[in-house]
Amino acid sequence: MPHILEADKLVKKYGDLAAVDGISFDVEEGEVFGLLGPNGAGKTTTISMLTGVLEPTSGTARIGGHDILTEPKAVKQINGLVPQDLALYPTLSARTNLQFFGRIYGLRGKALSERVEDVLRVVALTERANDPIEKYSGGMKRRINIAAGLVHQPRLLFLDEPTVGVDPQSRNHIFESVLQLNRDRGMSIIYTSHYMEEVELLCNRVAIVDQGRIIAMDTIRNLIGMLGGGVIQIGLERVDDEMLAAISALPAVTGASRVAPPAPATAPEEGPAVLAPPGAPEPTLVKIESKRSQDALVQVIGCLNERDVAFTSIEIFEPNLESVFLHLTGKKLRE
Amino acid sequence: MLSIAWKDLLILFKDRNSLVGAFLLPIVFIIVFLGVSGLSGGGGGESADPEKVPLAVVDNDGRDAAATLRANLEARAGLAITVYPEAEAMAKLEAQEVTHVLVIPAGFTADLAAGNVTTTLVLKTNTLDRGRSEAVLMAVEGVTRNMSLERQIVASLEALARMQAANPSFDPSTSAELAIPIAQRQFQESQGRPLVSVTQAQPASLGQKENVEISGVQIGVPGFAVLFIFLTAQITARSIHDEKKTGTFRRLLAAPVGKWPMLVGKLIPNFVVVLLQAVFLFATGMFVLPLIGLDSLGLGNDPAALVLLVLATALCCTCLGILIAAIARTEAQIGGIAGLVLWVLAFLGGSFIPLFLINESMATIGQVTPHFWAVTGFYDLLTRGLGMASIVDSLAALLGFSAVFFIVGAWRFEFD
Ligand SMILES: Nc1ncnc2c1ncn2[C@@H]1O[C@H](COP(=O)(O)OP(=O)(O)OP(=O)(O)O)[C@@H](O)[C@H]1O
Ligand SMILES: [Mg+2]
Repeated sequence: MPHILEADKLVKKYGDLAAVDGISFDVEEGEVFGLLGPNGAGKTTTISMLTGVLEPTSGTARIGGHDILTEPKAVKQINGLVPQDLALYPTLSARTNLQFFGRIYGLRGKALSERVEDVLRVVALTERANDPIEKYSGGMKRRINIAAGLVHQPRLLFLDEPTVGVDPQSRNHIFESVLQLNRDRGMSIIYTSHYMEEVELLCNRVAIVDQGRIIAMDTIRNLIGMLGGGVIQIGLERVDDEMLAAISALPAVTGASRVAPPAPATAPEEGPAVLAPPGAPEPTLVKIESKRSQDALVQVIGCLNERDVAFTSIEIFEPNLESVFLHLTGKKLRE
Repeated sequence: MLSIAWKDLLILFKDRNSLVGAFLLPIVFIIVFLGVSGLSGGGGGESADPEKVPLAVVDNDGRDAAATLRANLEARAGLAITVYPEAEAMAKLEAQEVTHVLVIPAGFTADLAAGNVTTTLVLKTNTLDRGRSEAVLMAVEGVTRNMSLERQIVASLEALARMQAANPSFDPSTSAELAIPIAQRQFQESQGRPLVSVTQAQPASLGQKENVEISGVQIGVPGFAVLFIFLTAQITARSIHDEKKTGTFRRLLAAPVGKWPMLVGKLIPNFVVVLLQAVFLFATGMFVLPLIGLDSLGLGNDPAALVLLVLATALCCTCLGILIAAIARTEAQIGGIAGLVLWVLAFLGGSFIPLFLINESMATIGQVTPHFWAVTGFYDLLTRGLGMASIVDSLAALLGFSAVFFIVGAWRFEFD
C-alpha cells in the first residue's frame, strides 16, 4: 500500500515549549488513522503543520508524494481540514459558506454547486442549507464544519476532534459519515480525539501522543494486546474448588479465582472452603482471566452447562486504549 | 482573492452595526453638528482656544440684542471680539490690521424684537485666507441662527400665551400638543428665513471677485466624511480578528490561496466600503441636506480630481487597515485603541473644525495625519472650487501615507 502521508520528525516550538517534539508516522492510502492524546498533547499543532497552517520549526512531511514545505499548493489540494473549532461564518448560510470554501479551492460554476449539494447530502443538511449557521444547533454546526472540509474532494481528510460537544445523535451521524467517506470514497482520514471509544470504533491504526511525542503506534488490537487479555466476571449460584480448577483448565482461560462477595458485613471471610453459608444461597463471583474473552466465555458456559450450574450475572472487561494509555504514561487520558 | 473579498462584503452587509457606523452615523453627525448649533456648539471651540480668531465689531445698535450677539460670538464661537467705532474699524480693515469686521446695524435690537423684519449683518473681510473667512462667517452664522431661533420660539410661546388669555376656556393640557407643532414650524421657518442674515463683503481692493457662497455644509461634510471614512480602517482588522477567532483563518491558510492574494482579498472590502461611503455621503450632502433646511453640498468644478482624491483616500484608509490589523491583536485593541487613535487623528487632522480656525501649531501637528491631507484636498475641491493642480500635494501625501502604512503593516502582519 502506498503511503498518502509520511511525517518526518516534525517539531514545533513555542519559545522553550516543544508543542510537537519530533513526530514521525506514516498513513496508508485508504486508512483511518487515529491521533489519540490528552489535552495539550500536540495533536492540533501536528495537524496544523501537515495542513500548511503552521510552519514546522523543523522536520517535514510528504503528502501524496509532495513535500509540504516545497510544494504547498499541491499538498493543499490533497488535504481537507476540519478544524477543532467551528470554523464557519456564522451570519452566512450553510450553502454560502460551503460555496466559499469550494471557491478558495478553485471550484467554480456547475462543478462547485454539484459538490456543495453532494456534501450537504453527506451530512444530511440539505433542507436547512439556506439558514444562517448561527441558527443551527451545535450538532448541525459540527456537521457543516465537516462538510466545509469536504467540498473540494480531498484525498486526505484531517478531522480534529469533530465530535466535541455533540449530542449522541449527531455524533453517530458523524461516525457514519466518516466510515462512509472512507469505505465508499476511499478517503484517507486522520482523526484526532481524546475519546478512546471513538478511536477504537473508527480507526485502523492509532498513534498515542503525549507531550509532543508519539509514545505508541500500532493497530488497536496490537496496542491492547500489550496489556494481555481481558477479564470476565461471572456470578454463579454455587461454586466449589473442583469447578474452579475445571474452569482454570479450559484452553482459553489463563486463570480463575473467587472474588469476595459484595456484601460481607454479617459474614466475615472464613477461608476459601465455605463460601455460601447454608440456607443463604448468595450468588458467588468468579473472576476469569483470558487471552480472548469471547473464546473463554464460550468454553466457560459449556463447562457450567455440563455441571448444571446457572449463572446470575456476566460482565466482560475488555482492556482498552484508556488502560493502554494508563499503562504507558501512568496518567488517565482525560481529567 | 475575489471570492474572499466577495464573502467579506456579504458578511459586512449582514452586520447592521458596521453599516450604521459607516453610513448612518456620519449623516446624523453632520446634521446634528451643522443643523442645530452651527459650528459653535460642536465641541471644537471649547477644547482648544488658546489663540482665538480676532473679530472686530462695529456696534451701531448698542442695545441689548447686540450685546447678547457679541457675548455669544465670544463665548460660543470662540472669537476674540474687539469693538471699534465704524470709521476706525474701516481704517484698520483697509490697513489689514484687522481681517474681519462685523457690522451690527442700528435698530438691530428693535428689529429682532419685532420679529418680522430680517436684519442683515455685514461681515467685511480683507484677507486672501479664504478658509479663515469661511470659518468666521460660519461662526457668525451659527450664532445668529441660534439667536433667530430663540427669538422665534419665544415669539411663538408669547402667541400661545395670548391665545390663552383671549380664550379662557382654552385647555392648558393641550398646550403642549399645540406648542410642539408651532415650535417646529418656527424652527423650519427660521431655517428657511432667519431673522438675522449675514452677508459677506470684501473691499474691491482685494481683487478676488468670485463670490462663492460658503456654507457650513461645505466645510462640515468633507470633514466628517473624512473622519468616518478613516474609521472604516478598522474593518479589515476586525474581519481578520474574527476569522482568527472562529478558526476560519486556518481554513484559508489550509487552502491553496497565496498569502498575498489572501491579504489583498481581505482589503478589497474596506476599499469598496470607502467608495460607497464617499458616494453616499456626498449624495446626502447634495440631495438630502437641502430637504431638511440645510444648504446643498456643491461638488466643485473638477470631478476627475474629486474621483482621484476619493480613490487616494480610500487606498490610504485601506492600507491603514492592514497596519491596524498587524498591530492590534485583541478585540479591545481594534475597537478601543485603534478607534480612539482614529478619532484623535481626525481631530488633529481637522475633521471636526478646520485647522485654520484653531492655531498654527495645531495645523502643523495636523499635517502628520492623513486626515489633514484628505480634508484639505476636499476643501480645495469642494469648498474653494479649485482644480487638480491644487490637490497634487494632498494626493502625494495620501499615497505616501498609503505606502508607509502598507509596507509597515505587511511587514508586521502575522499569518498564524
Ligand atoms: N500559539 C501558541 N503559542 C504558544 N503555545 C501554544 C500555541 N498553540 C499551542 N500551544 C501549546 O502547544 C501545546 C499543544 O497544543 P495543541 O493544541 O496541539 O494540543 P492538542 O493535542 O490539540 O490539545 P486538545 O486536545 O486540547 O485540542 C499546548 O501545550 C499548547 O499550550
Ligand atoms: Mg487540539
